[in-house]
Amino acid sequence: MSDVVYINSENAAKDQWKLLAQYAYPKNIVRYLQQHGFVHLEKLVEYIAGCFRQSEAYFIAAENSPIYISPLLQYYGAVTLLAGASAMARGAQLTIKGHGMIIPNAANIKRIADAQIIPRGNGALQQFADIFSPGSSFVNGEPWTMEEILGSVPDLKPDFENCYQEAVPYTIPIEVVKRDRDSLERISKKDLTRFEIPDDALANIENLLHSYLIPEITNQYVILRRKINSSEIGVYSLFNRKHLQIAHSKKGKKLTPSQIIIMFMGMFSLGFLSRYHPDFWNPFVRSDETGELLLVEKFIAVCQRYFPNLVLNEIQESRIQFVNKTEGTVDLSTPSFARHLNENSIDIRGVSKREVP
Amino acid sequence: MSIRSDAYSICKHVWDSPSREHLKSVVRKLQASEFGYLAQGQHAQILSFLVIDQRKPELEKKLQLLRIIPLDDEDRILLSKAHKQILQLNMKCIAPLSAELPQCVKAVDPYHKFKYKLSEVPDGDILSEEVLGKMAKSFNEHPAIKAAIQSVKAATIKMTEDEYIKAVSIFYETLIKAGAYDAPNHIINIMFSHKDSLQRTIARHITALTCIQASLSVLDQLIYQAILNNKLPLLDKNNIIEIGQMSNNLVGNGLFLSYQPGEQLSTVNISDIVLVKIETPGLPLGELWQAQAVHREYSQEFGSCAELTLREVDENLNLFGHLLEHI
Repeated sequence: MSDVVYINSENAAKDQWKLLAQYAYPKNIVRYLQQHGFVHLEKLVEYIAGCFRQSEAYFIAAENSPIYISPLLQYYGAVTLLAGASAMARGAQLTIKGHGMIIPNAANIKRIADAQIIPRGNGALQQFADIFSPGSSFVNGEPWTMEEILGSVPDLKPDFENCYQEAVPYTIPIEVVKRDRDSLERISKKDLTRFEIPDDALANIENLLHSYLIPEITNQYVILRRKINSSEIGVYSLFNRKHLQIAHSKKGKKLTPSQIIIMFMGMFSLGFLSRYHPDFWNPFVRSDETGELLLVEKFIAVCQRYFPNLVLNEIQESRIQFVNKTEGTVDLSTPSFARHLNENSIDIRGVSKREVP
Repeated sequence: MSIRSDAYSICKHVWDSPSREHLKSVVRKLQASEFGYLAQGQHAQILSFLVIDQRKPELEKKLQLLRIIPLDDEDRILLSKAHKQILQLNMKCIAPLSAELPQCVKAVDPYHKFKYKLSEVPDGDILSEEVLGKMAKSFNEHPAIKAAIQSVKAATIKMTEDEYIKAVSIFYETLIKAGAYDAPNHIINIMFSHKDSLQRTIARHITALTCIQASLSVLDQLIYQAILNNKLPLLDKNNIIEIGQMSNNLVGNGLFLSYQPGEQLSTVNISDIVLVKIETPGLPLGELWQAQAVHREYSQEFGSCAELTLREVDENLNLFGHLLEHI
């Protein structure tokens, strides 16, 4: 999904829901289903419309609620949104029984990071992963920790590393360098200091060598050049920063869930803890002394803003990036334009910018 | 079978020749010294080292900081024997031309510009008599040899050896200077003249001779590379960064590409023959190319990248195949 669509907005959080809300209208749903070759049953259309309406309501409620209940409301919003989007993707309502994950050690944790999420059966987690994270086949009974989940969200990287001094992140930020003659990507070596063996971090990025030439290591950077005709790998943060994801190793199997699924697991965990373990959640929210609360709040904020955006991207099969730019100006004063003129032998010397109408 | 595929075959024989390993180690040793630096600029394969050896006093005087270690007699003889055999191969390849037009022989010799007198040495053994003969027989069928002989008969062109040398040199330089992506303007203009005009016939004659020289040069380069390596430098999806300009012009095919130097392919020098194997949907690319220009860069910020301007080598080992066909 490398096609980027820029949408001008003064309030991206609001406008993403306006774009999603179009799928709360039966006519739009019918058109979408027809375009994707599905039969549009009235019941299915109403189900999808209802999911989108409910999801928005849950997310709004989460936004306006205290952290004692907001994680649960947000999780409900996420489940409902994924249910609606899945029905659109498959042309049928999924038969989901259960969340598809449990938190067995919820009663015994001291940190959020220690909460274990164990995938179980063919529940919501696996069914949504089949659609929004193809290839992510969760291993039944193999635990994930919230530390892994939080370390896999690109937008949390600095906060994650600040909060957990010894933890290893699962995401590596990339700098995309565009030059006159070429473009390349690079990883600052500073971003690899958390890894005991930086080469292992690179070796655990799935499809790295399908997408890039052999990484070249200089004193400052790991230089990555895309292979010709290769598919892009990696994910983008809310602010359009590219990241490469490091695979999670589960019983010898490498798994790299998409951001949607990572956030979904995290939201489930926080929703579960806040709803069923107030004995942990209340003191944590009231008097956390470690700073972990800041990270959790940031995770909730990132999910609130970015999760619907990511689902919208899936539905519209493009990467929607909200920007805030002046419209209607064609800037011809850039060096590249001057160069273009020069190449085409048009002499623009002697004409000041002010004289150009 | 084509001249190109026969050339590939003789390269395989080079690998098994008795003196290959010795020759390879001598060339590698020289390449790693000042010799290598100076020889690289000559673009004359083995002869490059002999020329530098001969010019040693003059070069040391000119480039005062440079100390050129003298060639061992044994190494000089080894290099001379190998080069002698290349010259023998070249002569056999153009036998039909030298029989008809002996005054053209020097003009098509890729080494004619070097005033190097090869010392008396026994024949080399990088190519057996049989292999050499087989390659020569194949090259004898080069369309440029036929074109050179036919055109001179058609227009009764009478030129001295020196005039031939000058004409072919100028023509060759003109084609090279125009770059791999363009045909020189005045050659395009000649294309508009009548096919049987004197101007066009002379142009066809000189073109044919230039093509013979270019093909011999590529053949010699392939043998030289076979002495040093068992594989041609490979540019493929594992090291190509970008395919840039592609040109199919009146002279031949040109290509610009950039690659990341690494384990698979470190350095490409001007005149090196390289294999390009990459899928370019809708516009298939030939596989065999010669480097015409090389630009390398390295920085801590952007890593390393090499840019190559390439000219395609056709089935007759010709760099200017389109020109020969159309003129």
